[in-house]
Amino acid sequence: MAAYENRNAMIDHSRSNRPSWLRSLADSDVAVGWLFTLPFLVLWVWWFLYPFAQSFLRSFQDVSFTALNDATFIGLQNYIQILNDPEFYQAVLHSLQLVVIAVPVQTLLGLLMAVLVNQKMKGQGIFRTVFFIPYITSQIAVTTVFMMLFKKGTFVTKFFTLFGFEDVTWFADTRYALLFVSILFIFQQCGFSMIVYLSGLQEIPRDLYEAGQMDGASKWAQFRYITLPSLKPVTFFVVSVATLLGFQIYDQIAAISRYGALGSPAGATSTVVTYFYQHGIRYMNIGYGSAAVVLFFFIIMFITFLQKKWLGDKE
Amino acid sequence: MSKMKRLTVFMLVSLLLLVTACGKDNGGGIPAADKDESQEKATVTMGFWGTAQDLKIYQDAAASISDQYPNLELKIKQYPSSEQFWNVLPGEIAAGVAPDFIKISNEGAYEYINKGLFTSLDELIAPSDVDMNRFAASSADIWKVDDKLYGIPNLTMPSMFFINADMWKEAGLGEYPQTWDEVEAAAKKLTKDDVYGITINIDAYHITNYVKSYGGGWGNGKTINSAENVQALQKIFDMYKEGVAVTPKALGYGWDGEVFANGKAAMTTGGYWYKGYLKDANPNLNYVALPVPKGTVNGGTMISDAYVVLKDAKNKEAALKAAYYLTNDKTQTEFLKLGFNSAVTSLSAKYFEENPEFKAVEKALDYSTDFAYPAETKKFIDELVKQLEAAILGGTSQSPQQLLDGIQQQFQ
Repeated sequence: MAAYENRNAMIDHSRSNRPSWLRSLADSDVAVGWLFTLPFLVLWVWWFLYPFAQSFLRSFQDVSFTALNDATFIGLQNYIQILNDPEFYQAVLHSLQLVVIAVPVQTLLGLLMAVLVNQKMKGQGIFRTVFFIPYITSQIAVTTVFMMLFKKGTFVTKFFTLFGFEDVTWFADTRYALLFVSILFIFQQCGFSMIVYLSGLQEIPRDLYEAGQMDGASKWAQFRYITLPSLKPVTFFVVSVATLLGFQIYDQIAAISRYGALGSPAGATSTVVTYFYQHGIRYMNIGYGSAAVVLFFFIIMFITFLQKKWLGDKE
Repeated sequence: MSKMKRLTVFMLVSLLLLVTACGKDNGGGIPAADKDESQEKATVTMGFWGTAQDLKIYQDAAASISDQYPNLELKIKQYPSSEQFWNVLPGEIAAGVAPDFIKISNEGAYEYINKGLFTSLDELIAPSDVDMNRFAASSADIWKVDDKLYGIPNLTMPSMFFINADMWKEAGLGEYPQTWDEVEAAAKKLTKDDVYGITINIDAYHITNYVKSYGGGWGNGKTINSAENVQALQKIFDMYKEGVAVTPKALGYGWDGEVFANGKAAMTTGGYWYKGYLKDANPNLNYVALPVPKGTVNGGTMISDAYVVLKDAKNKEAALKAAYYLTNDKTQTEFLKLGFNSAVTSLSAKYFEENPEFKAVEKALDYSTDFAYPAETKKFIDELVKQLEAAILGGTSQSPQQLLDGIQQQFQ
């Protein structure tokens, strides 16, 4: 007890020796909050805000990637040119198609897998690991394996003929290439959705289910009226992240376009990101590419806003 | 004079002769530079894409460069593929981390020269003791734009046409084809089961060989929709329509060499790199290399690799010296064994002795020409590939004339 009092006395003494402004700073929750946020904030400004501000500025310039000092201000010309380019609309359409196909499927599959591995069963850990592996495996490696599987004459392409598809090399066919990328994306992202849903499932209080059982609710009713509503914030997170990643997909497309033009075959897999990369980096027209990025940013913001409105927690 | 004294004098004279001989020539065909070891050591980096065999040759050369230039250290940076190289390089230039000099082919160089990213070498040649007379004039000329020299030539080789000799024999075909009409006829006989007569890679290099053999070309963007080019594309379309041609992509392969090595196509256009590749991929493949078949004229592309100093190289003179060192006889002879025809005149004469499988292509050295892509090379290549893929893989109904007219409009 005496030692405790001594210690407190020492702390008080040390505090009283500090300047008053430091004392008030340490007592302020707001200041401490900012202090803890500072490392993230610095990185965010350095890695996101500053590059984005640069991109925004460059989007009004005619400037080559390799001669950044020779920039000419051209106003909205880059934006006008992009909005008059049919390839941009094609890229936006492909990005939207990919997100519309892949996001609902991978969200549903992720939820299904999470419910399955949340059951008490033998080998639960193995299933969780197996389902999660594609997410942590190199995207190029997974794409390469998928390219081997979806070659003309393989059992996979032959299997899909049962559903009316032709036995062709999927990633070389303009009709199937985007679907191929979507399947690939779903396969890789399911594991992530599963893990997030799994953590969500484990947060749902048991007593809700017990109350449901006492009221005679069936398994489906419990899932429909307890599990799904409880997972709403998780679903918003999964859908938002999947949408962002779907819009940003690049590695898989670059891998299937190897030895050809990006977005191959014939632009069937071109997306907003490949459009930006092609113009900004490959053709070295960083002003034009930056304008595409700014437009892309607002498209994603708008879609996230809609998602928040429909799926987000009203509270 | 005592026996001991005579021996000492003999040893000294021998040593003197040896030193004099070494001073004149290092055995690499490049005169030795003054070995001023008091100067500060300069480090230069060379970037290239190529095989592991190429890397080994470059690493050996880098290890021996100090024999010739004691104040020079050479570092080698290998890029995984040509696509990566061309895509990464602009970013490296912008960030100021690009190599000091690079080895590139003439296929993509014009765009970079046009954008001022390479150093004109004319004023550096004399102070760096570079002897341009060692190189074939035709090789050096490829690297001149507006009378300014941009590259120290490394190799020059015409494009080729490859035939699987065993398949040809099995099909009971006689003389090898000299024209595309003969190729088309042979392709019909060679196509069976899962083997195609010919693989035509939808890639600007291969397409350019077809257009040049019809007397066409891109004319740096001025003649994209010429009648000759239309005729060449029509031949390609015909072979696809008849089902005797296949793209590597449609079979799930990356490039034409893979299709050919795996016996999925009996013929293809290609280049000198096939030798090294086939040696690893299918050592038992019996093939013949011929000049690109005639459409209406003898024509094809001339591939020329050169060492090019980047505009932001920290020490341009040191970079040029190192680049020139890589053209020494020893290094060039190593490349010669891999199928590279040296741009050094004295070595080029030995090329077809060392590579008898390419002997038939020798005559194409006289008529093969540069690519002459438009200044916006990458954009042009992407557009050409995209439109051809749409027509061949996507089944659009555009005629060759419409297709080329559309591209021409974008590159007026």
